[in-house]
Amino acid sequence: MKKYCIKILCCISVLISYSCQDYLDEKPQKSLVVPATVDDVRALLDSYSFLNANSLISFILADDWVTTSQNWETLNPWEQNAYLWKKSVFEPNERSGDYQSLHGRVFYGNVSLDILEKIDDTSDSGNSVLIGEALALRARAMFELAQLFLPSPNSALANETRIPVNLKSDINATLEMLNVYEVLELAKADLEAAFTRLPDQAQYKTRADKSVAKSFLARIYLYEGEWQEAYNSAAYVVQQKGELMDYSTLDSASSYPFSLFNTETLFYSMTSSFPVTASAATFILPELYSMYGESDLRKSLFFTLDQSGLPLFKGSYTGDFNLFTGISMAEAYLVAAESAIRLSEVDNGLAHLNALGVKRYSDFEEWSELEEEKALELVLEERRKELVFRGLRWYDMKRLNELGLGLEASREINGIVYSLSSADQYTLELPPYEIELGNR
Amino acid sequence: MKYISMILLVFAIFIGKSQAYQQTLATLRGTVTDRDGLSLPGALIYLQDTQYRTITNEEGEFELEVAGVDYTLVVSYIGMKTKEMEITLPLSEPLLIRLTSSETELNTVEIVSTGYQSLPKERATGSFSYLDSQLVQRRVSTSVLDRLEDVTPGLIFNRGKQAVNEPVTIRGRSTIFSDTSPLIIVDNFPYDGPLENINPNDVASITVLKDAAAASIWGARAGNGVIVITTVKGAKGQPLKVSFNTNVTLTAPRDLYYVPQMSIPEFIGIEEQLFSSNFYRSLERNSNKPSLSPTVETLIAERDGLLTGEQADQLLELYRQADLRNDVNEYYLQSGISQQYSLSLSGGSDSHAYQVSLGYDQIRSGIVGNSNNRWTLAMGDEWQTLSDKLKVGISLNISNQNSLVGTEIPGGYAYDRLADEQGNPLPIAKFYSTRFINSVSELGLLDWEYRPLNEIGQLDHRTQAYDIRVSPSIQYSITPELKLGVFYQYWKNINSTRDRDPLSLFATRDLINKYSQVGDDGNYTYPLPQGEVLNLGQSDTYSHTFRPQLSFVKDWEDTHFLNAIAGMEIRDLQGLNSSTAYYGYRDDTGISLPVDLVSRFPLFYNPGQQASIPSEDSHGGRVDRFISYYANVGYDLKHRYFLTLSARKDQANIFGVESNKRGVPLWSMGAGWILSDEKFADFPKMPFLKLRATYGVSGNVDKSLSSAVTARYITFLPWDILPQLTASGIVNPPNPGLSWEKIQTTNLALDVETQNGFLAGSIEYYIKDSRDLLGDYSVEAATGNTNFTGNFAASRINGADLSLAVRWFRNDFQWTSNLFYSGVNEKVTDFEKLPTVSNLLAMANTSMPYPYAGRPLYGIYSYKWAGLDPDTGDPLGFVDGEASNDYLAISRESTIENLQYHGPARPTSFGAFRNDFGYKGFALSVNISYRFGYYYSRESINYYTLLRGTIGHGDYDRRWQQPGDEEWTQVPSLPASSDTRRNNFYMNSGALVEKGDHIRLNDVRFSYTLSSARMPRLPFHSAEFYSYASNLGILWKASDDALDPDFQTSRPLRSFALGMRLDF
Repeated sequence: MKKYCIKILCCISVLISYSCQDYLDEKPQKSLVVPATVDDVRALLDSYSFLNANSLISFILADDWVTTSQNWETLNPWEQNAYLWKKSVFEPNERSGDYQSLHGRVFYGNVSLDILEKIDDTSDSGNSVLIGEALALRARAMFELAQLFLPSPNSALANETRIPVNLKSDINATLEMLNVYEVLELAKADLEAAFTRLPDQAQYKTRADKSVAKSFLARIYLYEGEWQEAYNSAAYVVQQKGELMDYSTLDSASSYPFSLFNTETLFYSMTSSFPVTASAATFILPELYSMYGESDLRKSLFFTLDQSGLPLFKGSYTGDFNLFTGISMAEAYLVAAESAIRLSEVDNGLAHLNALGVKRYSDFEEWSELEEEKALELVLEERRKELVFRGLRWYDMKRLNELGLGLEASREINGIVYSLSSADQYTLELPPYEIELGNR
Repeated sequence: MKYISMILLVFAIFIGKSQAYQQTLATLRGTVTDRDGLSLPGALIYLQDTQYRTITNEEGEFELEVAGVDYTLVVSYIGMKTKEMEITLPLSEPLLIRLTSSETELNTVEIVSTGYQSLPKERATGSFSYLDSQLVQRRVSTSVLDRLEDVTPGLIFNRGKQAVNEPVTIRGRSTIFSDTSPLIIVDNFPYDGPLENINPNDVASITVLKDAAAASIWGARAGNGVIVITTVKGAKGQPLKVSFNTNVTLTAPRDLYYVPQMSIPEFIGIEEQLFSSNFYRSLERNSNKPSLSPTVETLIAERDGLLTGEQADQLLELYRQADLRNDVNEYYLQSGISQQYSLSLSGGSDSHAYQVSLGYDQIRSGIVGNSNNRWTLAMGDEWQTLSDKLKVGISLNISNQNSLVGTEIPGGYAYDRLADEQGNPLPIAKFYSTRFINSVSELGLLDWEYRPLNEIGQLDHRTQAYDIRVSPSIQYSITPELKLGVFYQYWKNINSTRDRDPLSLFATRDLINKYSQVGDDGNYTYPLPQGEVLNLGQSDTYSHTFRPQLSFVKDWEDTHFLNAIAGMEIRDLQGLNSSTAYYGYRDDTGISLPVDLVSRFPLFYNPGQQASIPSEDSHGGRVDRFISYYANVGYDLKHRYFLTLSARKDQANIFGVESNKRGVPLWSMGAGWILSDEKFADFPKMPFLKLRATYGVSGNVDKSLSSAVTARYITFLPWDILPQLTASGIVNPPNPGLSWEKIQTTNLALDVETQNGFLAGSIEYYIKDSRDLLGDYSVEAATGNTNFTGNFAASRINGADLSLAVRWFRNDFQWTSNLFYSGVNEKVTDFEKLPTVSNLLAMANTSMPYPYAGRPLYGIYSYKWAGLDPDTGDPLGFVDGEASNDYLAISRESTIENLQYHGPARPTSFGAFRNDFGYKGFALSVNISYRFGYYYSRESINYYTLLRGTIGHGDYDRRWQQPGDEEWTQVPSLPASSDTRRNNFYMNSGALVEKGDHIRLNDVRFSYTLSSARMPRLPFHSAEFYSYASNLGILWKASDDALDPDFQTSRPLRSFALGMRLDF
């Protein structure tokens, strides 16, 4: 009996040891995965509420808007500093949500690429597209970092400033310290590689496709002053998609005249912080508002006046108070127009501008026969009026400042005037807390 | 032990003398128990003048094959009166031998239960705290865990922020990130359900295992200590015993005035000031129509000419007189009443023991309209057959809990009025401004006003929980020494919630109104139908635990005694949960309506905001699997030298980890020596002395971590634009270097007891060295993450537990004092990542520790305080050693070295002093507890939030107002504008740090017992009438802070209980 029992026990133990590994392979939580499949990466890259949200600070820095001293008082300290274009924006012990999420997006890209690399390319056709999306994601975030924390590539300071960037999914990896040229090269290389892999048309506008990759390339080339490359990229987008909405068909009485995922939306991204971007004291810069003529359909579609007659923005392509900061079709026309004019192809440039203008003015007369300089002035004015509150103004301010356009921006708070006058105001210092953590 | 050795000596003399040959062999069987029927393992049984002898097994049973007829049976046991009885063989039924405690010994014998086995404390080498039934039942409460408070050396109940994730700590925290809760064992199996399901009236004893032996017995989950709960069992041969216990406890209502609040007229003054500086302008115009306080609304109406100045002043005067707390007190709060009933029956025949108990608890909550109740049923049966070789047992436990939440306490502005003078309910602003609500009152919407008083008792939130445990077991004695046991437990817990929100609730009407749409024709449509909202949730968890085990017990000539077990345990715990919401529900017809959860609708209060109807659907599931192998050997030489060895290997379904890293080996060894039994110690009045020591290695891992990247699937929120997509977020960056935390524990102890039992006590010293502790540290965001969890710290905890009992009087009047003292010194010894200044400052306000070498895991740090500026009342800190109000410079120049370190955030010394008095059936027990050697940061006025319109702390009334005030106050002046840096400095300054040391009168228990021993004519065995009062207040504290150091946010509520226990 005794031996018998022991034998049984031994048998049970052996059996269990055999099946033990399978038994312990069960994952502890349903919602938790070790992402390893194409579907897992698909889900990661579809976290649009995180990955397609752009930084708030670019909005604050843009001179498209002004607020009252009272409202400024209610902002967070870093928001107050950014509003006044201070060089040190962040408090000593503060983490910046924008800085974190930009690097977080690079990290999502790295992680996705790592996983996809391990999946056999031939077995799954979705693989290549996802690699493209991950590359585009990483490039977008790196370019945004460059716009905030690095000088313009045409600046005299361009070589001096470097920021840490993690190009691996290992968070213990030694971080590369990159200057603006290196960051932009990486971003362009990613976008070029993404372009070859992405589809012509993505299923959702939260995902990148070929036109989106080209649109971002156009932005970078324009930033660098590579007019021909910028033109080629923008012209590709115009050629591939090109459809513009006729603003005269839209209802300007509506509280939000545009709808989400409208035909002009190429790629959805947004910026939102209710107290900053949508407060009742977030006014359009009066000078900017006065630039819209009466025949300009955008005047009543983009803006509404509050009780005291001050203009507020309502023209977001999200169809609500969140600011649309993705890619719109109009941007491609404007980049093509500007690059062409700068390449002295004034007629070609004006043709692109006219294509846009006809959809924007009630009694449109084509622009023609302009001097190059006048044409450039026109395209920049149209660009500013079209892309208001689209998250592109800081980018434009920075690049136009390098082009010597003599921007004069100033803001007044509690009777004191703060102006954006020195070159170093265009490059934000890294949050000191991050420097402390990185021992830099 | 002395007794046993003495008896052995006597016994040895007789060996060989009586060799009476008999022809027939008879089996002598029996069970040895104490007075209460608890079995006594290891009792010595012998027949006088023979060599027949044995020792009782784990269940207190013994068996002897005896030739002969008449004998004198002697039963001896340490701490018990030796019993002699004449027997004549063969016996018609097994003997039931009850031993009573010896008068000369203080302690009744303590049977420590490790959950796997029970052994007399004398044979134990590890660190155990044992609570007998009397101590367990001393406190009146509905929870089991409470019963350990302030009676268990080394175990502390954490308070405040520390208690959030870690209610109980045993001998310091040896982990940073991983699970900190002790493992709970109920009747030999780990218990995963909520402890509320266990009725404390069913508990016979609790043993707390504190050293490495705990982990090597119970595995990786035992690194934080083990609490072994043993429930009452029937005993063989015991006549039917019926016991009935009932009590009622009254708990004082909540004290809303406990944390001081600034005076309301002063606050209204601040609001007026903010209003005049246009602070509310953007909120007033905010398209989300946020609510503003009554004062601000009045001022807006006055400004817009809707109220005259006089009318406005009248209203403001009314607000100055009002206080929301008064109304909440009047309409919502009440004394809590809990009633407890418990009936138990137990007994047994010669081959069968049984026990049944039934409990019912009814609790009226401290909030009107809320209640809960609990039914518990516990049954246990055990049979023995095949000449007692086979033992079959089964136990069944069922509990059912029901709770009803009918009322929620409303939040509102400090001077919101819930009722007018006549007591009619008044509306208050919630979510939306009064202006907006008034402007839509005529539209085709549901009433959008919030009248809290109309909602008392209107909520219909019900939770029902069932908890079932079935544990069959079979034990078979293959030989007298070797026994095979197979134990199994099935556990199931079903928890269902049914939250019905009728239309009488603002929340329901708000949801419907929010989604209401107006068409171009002015007609209304309701995407969210006008009906009740019904939320259903269900969680279903079960586990199977299967444990085959071999045990071997042999005793050679009474000099060697071996007790070994080996076995394996497989455990599979799985849970599923889901929840959903139904809209447009009608409770009378049971009908709900389908809604569109994908489309986004502009919200009525702000068409610029679009959202889909919230889908409350969620689904979750978990699987926890373990496979463990274990062995445990105890060797006892001459009942004087003891050696224990135990080892265990645990494997679990840890996620994303190579299979070879899934398991962790754990082991421990221990030794014990009864010094006083040695020859050299053989002199009169030599007290009992025993030395014990254990050493062991255990490990711990957090199952949520993984060495691979992990991601979690997320559900989109109503305002997300594409609810139909599936998305996931990264939870955990890859960590290839992830390893188990390793904890080495050494325990040294000395037990002492004087021969006359006047004094008994023990002192234990322990060291816990932890390496590779998992912790969270901040990393630079450029890595792509802000925090990272990895193995990066080492710590050492050392400490001592002392317990002492003195029996002053033992006559008609009895007086016993019990003192325990626990000292614990936690220190981080090594770390790879430095914390940051803000990490260290944050520790005062969070429960997350940040290790810093040489300091405890939890410390209180602050900016050095240089007092108030005598001219401005500004708080001052130090910059370059000079007092300064340059707050930016203060925070810039702060380093982790120059921050002020006050001391640990957790008590480093604590304990209790309990005195029990008895006189002719009267008993009085008073417990006083103390905690020393720690600091906390108290609350004070937050000027930043105050100047953004939130009422502040009562310190405001003690603020600096004019030069000279700095002599008597440390509260800074009111700044001209909201200054975050100034405020952050003050909030993190040394001015707010207080010493936590205090002594508290915990509880008093007074009882009178009628016993049939004294009054034979009583119809029952005994009846106890008791009263119990707890949270009686602080006797002494080090700080001047008006609040209780351990209860900073709410007062510990006094309670008073009356009860009766009848035993038949």
